[in-house]
Amino acid sequence: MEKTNPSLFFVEGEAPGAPGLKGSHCPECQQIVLLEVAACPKCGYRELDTVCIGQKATLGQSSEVLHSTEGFEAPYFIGQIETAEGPHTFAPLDVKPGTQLRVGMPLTFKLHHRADGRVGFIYAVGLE
Amino acid sequence: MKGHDVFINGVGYHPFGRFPEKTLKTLAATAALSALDDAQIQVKDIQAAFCANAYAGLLNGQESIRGETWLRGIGLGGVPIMNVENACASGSTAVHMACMAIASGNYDTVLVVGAEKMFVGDTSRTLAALANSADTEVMSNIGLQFSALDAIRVREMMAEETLGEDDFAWVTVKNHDHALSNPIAQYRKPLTIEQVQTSRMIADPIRLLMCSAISDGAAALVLSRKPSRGGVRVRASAMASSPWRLTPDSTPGPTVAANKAYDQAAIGPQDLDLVEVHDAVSPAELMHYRELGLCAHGDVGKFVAEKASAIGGRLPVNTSGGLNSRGHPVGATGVAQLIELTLQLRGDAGARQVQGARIAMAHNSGGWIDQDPAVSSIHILEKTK
Repeated sequence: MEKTNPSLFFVEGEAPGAPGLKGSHCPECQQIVLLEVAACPKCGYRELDTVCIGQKATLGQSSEVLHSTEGFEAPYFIGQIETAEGPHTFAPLDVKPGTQLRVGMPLTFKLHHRADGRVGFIYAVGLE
Repeated sequence: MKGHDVFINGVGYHPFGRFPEKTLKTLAATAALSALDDAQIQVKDIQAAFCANAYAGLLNGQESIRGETWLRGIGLGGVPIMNVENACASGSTAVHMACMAIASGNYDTVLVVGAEKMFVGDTSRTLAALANSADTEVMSNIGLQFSALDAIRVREMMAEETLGEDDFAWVTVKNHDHALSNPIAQYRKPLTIEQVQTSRMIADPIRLLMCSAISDGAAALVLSRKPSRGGVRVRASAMASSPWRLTPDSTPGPTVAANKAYDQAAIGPQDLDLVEVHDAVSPAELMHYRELGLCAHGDVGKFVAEKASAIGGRLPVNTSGGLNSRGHPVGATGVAQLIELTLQLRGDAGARQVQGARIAMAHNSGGWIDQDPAVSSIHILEKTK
């Protein structure tokens, strides 16, 4: 299974709690950040744990995009999300055109099987 | 700024627009020679050069030694030429490095050239190149075009300010009006509010005419330890990478850079006479008002209603037309902003002259990481004569 963003997310079986986003946890100060990083940005500790995060998230601001790009046929939605663990990122949203999105809506991470055969991810509105 | 004084003694450019018949070398050489002429010096007087470009590797097939290839054609050789790549802030980064080179005392006179050739006959290739200016591990393959990113940022501002579509159209029209008399500008024709508001929606609420255009172009500066005509001194040169935002009250990158620059210059935003900001989409200009302290949080709508940022207002912004109207040939943009400020401080800006301008600031940003531009760059210039 080829992933669109191997550094950004786990599929089932790749980490406890997967699928979800890839993060780093600092056992020294408990800071959690997105992606695998070499040192904690808060305390500088270097032996970080790689963890799966972002299975649940909250929607920030979003936009309906009306210009297609590779793998995303317009119209589609994209938003800023805050993971339950704290880190923010941007993510495509699994909603239909015309959907009224609100800041604070709960979101759930989902794997997304793309037409090009690769696996990406998307956030669905609501808790599953 | 610590160390020796740095003055901008010459400015030059190749106009921004679509020039399919011209090479990147031609654009850069035109700007460089024009800056030397403006400074009334010869090629032999240049001790080092800093060359800014973001996408020649991806779009024009020239990697690694872009500046050396550009400047050989003007007869420059045997001096250090540094290539600078820092997304849309490549130009201001080159200026920052040039300032540090002079301030350190190692060089007396240096050349900065920013150039970009983005029209390559395939818009999707150019847009794909631009998309590489984000952390590609995170932001590729998720549908996040820069217009969508800007749309989300604008919506964040809308949630905290009293602003709407009319204000976004106004700032677009304002910048097109400013560009009318700017010979470097890509678009030198007025727009109406209606034209902006009926242009195609790209990423809600960003419409086509609010977006900066793909451009070819080049801009150059001669920086020196001693002043010549105009006496325009670099009073601050500050940069910030995307900060780690580990707490809800953390400071945005552009504000971090601006605060460093205000500290260096020992002034505040109230002392500025004009500002150039990085309006990759025109509504982003409104975000920068508050990020740079030009108005208080919550007061952006009032600032717009007063037309404070128009020429004739209390703090004109983007008198050049900004990225939206002047154009955005990426590597040249940060240099072009400083050309505009230099002309304004010299009193050479023609119909768009800000009367009595003495202190001016430029804000250039590039790329994206996490919650901020990957690069935020601020320069403050002052008229000393």
